[in-house]
Amino acid sequence: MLINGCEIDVRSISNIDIFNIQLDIPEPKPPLFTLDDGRVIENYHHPLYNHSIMLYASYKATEIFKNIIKRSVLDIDSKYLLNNEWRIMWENMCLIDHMKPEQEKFAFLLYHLFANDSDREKLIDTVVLTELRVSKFFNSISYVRQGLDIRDANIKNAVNTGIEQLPVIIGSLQIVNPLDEYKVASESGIPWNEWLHGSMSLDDKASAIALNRLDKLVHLHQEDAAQIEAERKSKK
Amino acid sequence: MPARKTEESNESEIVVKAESLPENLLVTANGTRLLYHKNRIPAAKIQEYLTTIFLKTNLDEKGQVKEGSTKEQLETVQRFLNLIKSIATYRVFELFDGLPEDNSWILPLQLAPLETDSQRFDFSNPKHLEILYVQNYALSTEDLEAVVDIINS
Repeated sequence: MLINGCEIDVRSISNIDIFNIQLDIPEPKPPLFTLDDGRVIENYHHPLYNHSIMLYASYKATEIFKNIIKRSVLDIDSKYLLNNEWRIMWENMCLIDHMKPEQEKFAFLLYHLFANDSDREKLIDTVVLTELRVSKFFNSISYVRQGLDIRDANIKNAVNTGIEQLPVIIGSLQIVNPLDEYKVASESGIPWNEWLHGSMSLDDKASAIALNRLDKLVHLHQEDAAQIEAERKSKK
Repeated sequence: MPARKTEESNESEIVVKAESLPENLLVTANGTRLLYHKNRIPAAKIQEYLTTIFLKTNLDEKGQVKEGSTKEQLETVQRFLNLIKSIATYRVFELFDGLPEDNSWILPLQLAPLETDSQRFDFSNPKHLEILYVQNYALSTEDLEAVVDIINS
């Protein structure tokens, strides 16, 4: 791929590998607060906690992006490291951070070539399965319920289970949760190992996930319509 | 007693020359003049460093937000000191007038290298000395707003 005039060799990587990282800092927990009656509760409104949560998301996204670079960028020509602006930055980083020569290519990619959010997103969307890629397929097929797009139509008998996934977002891109991939692979009869390391392109995987979600949505609407009809008949 | 200037004196000798100051100059609360160079270190690196410092300062080893034992005001000061240290460490700032000729300021730092950053500094290296001076003497809490403005600009 070409970024800011630099040509780099990249390969697509599995989302499960991106999520599998060790973070040095634990996820923030709210401070404890003792009520007048002696009960101890967690104070989710503490300003320091809220600020920590916000910064932790940024920290985690950066660590995940580092992991993406390490796993997806195969090589970059050393000639790009001769850039004047980069030479000044690198010399300073060597002076203070005691960076080693073997770390330069990685640092160049992280802090110089992919310094802007838009360039980071370009790399992520090229090598990782994102919700953006899935949504392109998901929105490309029209399905209506009584004239209304089923993506917008309400489901009257929806049940809120309260179960939700915590998304991983880098810049404006959300990474597809590996559990969604696993479910689609299982239901499609594709061995998990084949899904992860086989010849399927990111577009193939994205379209499979999109169609699976659309199929489930259609099914939900069918069940909802059937239940409404059953309620109508029982009232007669 | 200074000699009285006569009509014959060369005028250029008594006119104070106007100093042309660069745009990237910050005059700190204690009057130290600092040049700042944002392109010397990647902005992403500074941001990453500040985020890590904030989280490590305010969370314990289990991730619990530290509260109660430390007053909020002290935390703010501590965070700012870390902020200054990290920015200066990355040499965003440079002494416009160079290091003071009197180097007695070095001794206290040599005697009490409490911070890990100080410990890895080489006191015989002029570049390291400049960083140490900016960290410990040039900037103070009163410069908070100006420093943050520079980082965010």
